[in-house]
Formats: sequence, structure tokens, C-alpha cells
Amino acid sequence: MAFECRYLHLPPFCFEIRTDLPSVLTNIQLIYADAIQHSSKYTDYFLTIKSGSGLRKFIRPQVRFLADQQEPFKPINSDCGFALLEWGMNWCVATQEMRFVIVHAAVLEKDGKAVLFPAPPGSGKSTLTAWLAFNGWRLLSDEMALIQPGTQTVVPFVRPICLKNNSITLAKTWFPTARFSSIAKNTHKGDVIHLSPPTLSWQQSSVPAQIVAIVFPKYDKDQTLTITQLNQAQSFSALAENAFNFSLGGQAGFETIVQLVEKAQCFEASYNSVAELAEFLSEDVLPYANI
Amino acid sequence: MKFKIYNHQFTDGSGTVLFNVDSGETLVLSLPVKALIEQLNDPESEIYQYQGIDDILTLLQQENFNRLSSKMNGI
Repeated sequence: MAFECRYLHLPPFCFEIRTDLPSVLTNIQLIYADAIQHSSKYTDYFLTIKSGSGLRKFIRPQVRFLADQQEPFKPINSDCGFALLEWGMNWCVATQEMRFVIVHAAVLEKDGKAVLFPAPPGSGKSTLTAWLAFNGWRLLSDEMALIQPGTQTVVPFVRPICLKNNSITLAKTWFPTARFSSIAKNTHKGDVIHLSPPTLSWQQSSVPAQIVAIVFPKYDKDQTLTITQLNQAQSFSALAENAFNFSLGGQAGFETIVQLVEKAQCFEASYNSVAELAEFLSEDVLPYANI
Repeated sequence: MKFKIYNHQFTDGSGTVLFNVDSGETLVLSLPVKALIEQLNDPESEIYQYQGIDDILTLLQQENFNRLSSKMNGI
């Protein structure tokens, strides 16, 4: 297949994506249907996702990711092309974007009030994100919170939700009519699938929100909902661990994290029911949070 | 070598964070910076038993420590 080009308008960025892989193109069309443009006046990142060269076109075919002329990852199985593109897009923003303080966190909003969910892999963050996004919350991001320095304002970066292993079956049961990408099997994260957020998230992909709470989620199948309020020193430590670039932002980055933990309520939440955690947020956190 | 260090005392009294702008290192302490300075000035202080004391001393290079001390005198 010849290379085809698509522009993804994903505020605050625009990506130009070139690919010669039909499966990647199909997934882009499916998952990013609300964000595709056929031309763009400006582009932030020029990405290529293409078939491996030489023998790798034929024997155990591989796929490669390039951002401009950089190739940050090793080629992987060609069935994982769309997942590689997603990881590549994350890499571009996480490593090169300095306009925002970036926290590795999901961001969801309700009644104009945003909650950050910073968490390491395996904590159930994306499963929680998917459930909330399809149950009355607006998804701003599944992977990274873009915070305007010196403020509590978080800018959306709407992208598909990355679900892994057991979460895949669960999400397909919860949201049978939602748009799922093809499955990327046996990646370094296990089996991976991407879920397109609800229409509301795409429609409001330029509408920022104010952070009022930070919740560090931890899924534990044997643990009923247990909430621990963190003091500011504990919150700073936990948030800084998940902040990609605040130290590079000097005083402004530091003060942004400090102000966040001083103004937002911070909790650790162990849970085995996303509905219970959502109820806690809606009834015990948001009503008492001032913007 | 000169370091530039910012410090912040959390308003809920839970501690202090020190941030070295040049290296990007942060150190969160569960005591106010004034108490930290007082304890560091006392060679008999229990703070010298704390296993992270080397980190504190590295971050608070003497020159900065003096600057920080004078800055905090008004507290």
C-alpha cells in the first residue's frame, strides 16, 4: 500500500500521520473519526508508522515508528502498529512539550471540576477512566494531564483509552456499542486495545477545566472502598513522582505542583468497585470543592 | 558550584519541600524549614541519625544553607 496521510486535530496539538499500513489507517478512521482532518494550517508533530524494511516485510513482519527522523522505539510485530502509534504520540508530547506541566494521570471532569488520577501501570487507572468517561464524566485525558503553569487549569488532550489484558473483556461487556481498536497481542504491556471516548469528550476537546481533587487510585479485588486523605507533604511527594517535567520548568514548574497540592484535595483510594469510587467523588468530593 | 534552591512550607503544617532548580532534585521533609535549620545547627541533633541526612546536606550546600537561614530569620 502507498503511504497515506491523515491530520489528527487533537487540541492543543496537531499530528500529521503517514502510514503504509492498512490496519493502522483503519484504526485511525475508527478511533479518531471525530478528530481527522484532511489538511492542516499548522502541524506540531510529523509522525510516520510504516512497514519494516528488507526481509522484515515478509518474515514475521514488523512495524516502525518515526517522529520526524527520530526512531525512539525498536520495531515491533506489525499487528501492533496502532498501539505503537499511540505510544509514539505519548512519547512526543511527554518528551518535547514544555508549555505545560505534565503529570502522568488520567483527567476527568464533572460540573466544571476536574479530578486528576495519577497512578503507575497496573493500578486500574484506565479501567476506572473508561467507566467514568461513559458514566457522566467528561474525559480530558487518559494518559497525561497538561497543566498550565501557575494555575490549576488542565487542558484536554483527548485520546483513546488504553486498556490491557483483563480490562479488555470487562470494557467490551460494559460498553458493547463503543468503538474499540483491533487488539495488539503480546506487547510488552500484554494484550492492548484502545477505546474511543464518548462524543462529548471529542466535542469539548478544547474546553479546559479546573483541578479540584487529586486521587491516587489502586484497584484491589479484595478491598472495599478505603479512602485515605493525604496531607500536603505526602501529596507533593506522590504527585511529583508522576510529574514528567516539572523540574525542567524551574521555579514555575515547582510552584505549579506546590499550588496544586495546596488547593486541591488529595486522596489515596483503594477500591474493588468503580461505581463506589465514583459515588464517593460525586457525593463527598465535588460538592465541597470550590473552583 | 552554586545551587539555587527554593523552599516551600506547606500551609497545613505537614512539612517543607526543598527544590534544587539546577539538578531538579526535590526533598520533602516532615518538619518546617525553621526547625530544620535549628536542628542542622545543633551537632547533637537527632536529625544526624536520619538516614537521609546526606541528601539534605547535599541539597543544602553550605552556601545555600546560609542564604536559606538568613531568609528564614524573620519567621
